[in-house]
Formats: sequence, structure tokens, C-alpha cells
Amino acid sequence: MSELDKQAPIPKTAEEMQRMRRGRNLALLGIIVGLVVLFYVLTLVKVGGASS
Amino acid sequence: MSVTSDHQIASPTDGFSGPSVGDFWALLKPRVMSLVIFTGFAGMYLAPGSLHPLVFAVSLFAIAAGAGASGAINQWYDRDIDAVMTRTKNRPIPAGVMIPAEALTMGLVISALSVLLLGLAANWLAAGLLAFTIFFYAVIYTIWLKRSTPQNIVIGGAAGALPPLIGWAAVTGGISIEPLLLFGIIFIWTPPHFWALALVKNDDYKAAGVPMLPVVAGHDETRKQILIYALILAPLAVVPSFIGMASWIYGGFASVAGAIFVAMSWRIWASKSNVLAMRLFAYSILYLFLIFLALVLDQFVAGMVL
Repeated sequence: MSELDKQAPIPKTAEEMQRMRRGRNLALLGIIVGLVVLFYVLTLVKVGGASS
Repeated sequence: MSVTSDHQIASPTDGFSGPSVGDFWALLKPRVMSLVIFTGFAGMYLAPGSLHPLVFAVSLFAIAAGAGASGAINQWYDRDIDAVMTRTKNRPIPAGVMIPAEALTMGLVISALSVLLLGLAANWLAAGLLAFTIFFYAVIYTIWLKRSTPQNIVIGGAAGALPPLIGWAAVTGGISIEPLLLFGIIFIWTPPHFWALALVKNDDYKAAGVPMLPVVAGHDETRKQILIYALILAPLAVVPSFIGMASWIYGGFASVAGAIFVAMSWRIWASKSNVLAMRLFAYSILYLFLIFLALVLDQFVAGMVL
């Protein structure tokens, strides 16, 4: 790994940093909620299929 | 072979605005993913048996996610050569908007999640095949073969050929001759597809130190190899009609599509020029899409008639 690889990105301003972080956090939240729903529904289908 | 010392990746501090959601999306190589989704779908659709529509959709999603994850690991490892090649220098890492560790983390997390999801949704044979595909693409192809041999995309092509096999295994829980044939078609299709691109992008690959066939063996040899592979591919894609997997209508269609592939490869070989290489590259994508679409439609129509 080069020095560049270890270097953390430095945003231009604090507002920009907050905006970036917020956008990524929201995307991550959406993915996690989506996965929770997906696993829940998948379980219903698998359990339903097994019992029928 | 490394080119990192000669070519700097853009500094993340130069006008840095951070990776957007779109950059993370680009890391998954969405265009490659779309072909994986399509061939994976074909494998699932052509397989005997049925899955609950949700399980079907989730399985296909997991296959696509696994392909995307291996694309992210590929972009993490290839950041040095991506920075050199015009085709790839705007990818998130060489463009300086994402630190490499982010890409690697994302690739590893999605890899694990996709394998787990496919195992839970379908079965563990399919999940194991997906894990093997990710490993093969990220480690065997990207880290080992790509920089060490002109046979890189020949052997590495196995990773891109596995999605229909995974799809078939997801539905049936097993593997048989039919999905192996689908694997074979993509496997033989891959070298002429990439070598047509490599003929045009030869300077890029040479600058990056990637030993693609035109760089190592020259353009004449590459054009000959493209023709040889096309001559194997064209009849191979007709075989589904001989093993009861598709009708003779499909066979006729595959023969015509294959003949065009061979004719274009022949013209490139005979003309000793790369003028038509980009056209062959574009046609090869259309060809694979049409072959798999024809197989799916053939089965769909057969199902309607019976």
C-alpha cells in the first residue's frame, strides 16, 4: 500500500463533510432496512413453503 | 508487475468532494452486472423446476450482488493500472474520489452478504458456486492471471461464464450438461470478445503493462486466435438444439448469428487491420445477449405450445 492509499480524503468544508456523510448514511440506512425486510419476507416465504 | 511508481493516482485532496452514492454504484461495474443478471436469469429460467417468485428474484439479486462485489475488489486491486488506461482512469479510485480501503471493504462485505443470501434463499450449492466465482474473479483472475499471462482472459473467463450455472443450481440444487453447455458458450465467447477490444486498446494495455495477447503475441496472432475461437463458438452455440434443450428454430437462429460472428472475425483476420475490431466487440455483446434471449424465448414458446 502506498502513502496515498493510507491518506484519508479531506472534504473542502465542514458543511460539505456533513452533507456527504448524511447522504452516505441515508443510503446505508436504506440498504440495512431493505435487507431486514428482505430477510423477513424471505423467511415468511420459506417457512410458509415448508409448512404447506 | 506494478506501475504504481510511474503513475500516480489522483490525490483525493485535489478538489475532493467525496464518494457519492453513484461512485459506489460505479464500483460494482453495473454494465458487467447487467450481463451477469441476464445470463444468470437465463440459467434459472431454463432450469427444470420452479422457485417462488420472491426466492427467484432474491437469488438473481444475490448473483448480481456477488458479481458487483467482485467488480469492487477488482477495482481495488487494479487501481494502479486503471489510473494509466484511458478506458478506466475515471473510475472512482483512480479519479481520486474514493480511498482504496473503502472499495475493498465494500467488495468483501457485499461478497459475504450475497453468498449468505443465496444460500438462505436457494441452496448452498448455488451459494458455494457464487463464492467460488467471486474468488476466481478477484483472486485467480485479477490478482494472479491478469498481470502474468496472455491467457488471462481465457482462464479468467470462467468467472464470467459461471452465472448461468449458479442460476441453474439455485433452481435445481444440482448441475447437469445443459448449464455446463451455457458455461461453455460464454467461456469460448470471452476471448474473442476481449481480444477484439484489446486490439483497439493495445496502447492502453501496453502502457499499463497488462500482458494481453496483442501486446505479447502481436496483432496478427490475436486476429488468428479470434477467428479460431469464433469457429469453435459458432457451432457450440447450436448444440442446445442437438441435446433437446432448444428447438431447431433456435438452432437456425444461432447458426446465422454464429455465421455473422465468424464472418466478422474472418474479415478482421484477412484484412490484417483492426478497423473492424470495435465493430466485432460491439457485435459480440449483442451476440451473447441474443443467444441467451433466443434460448429463453424458445423455452417460453415451447411452454406455451405444450
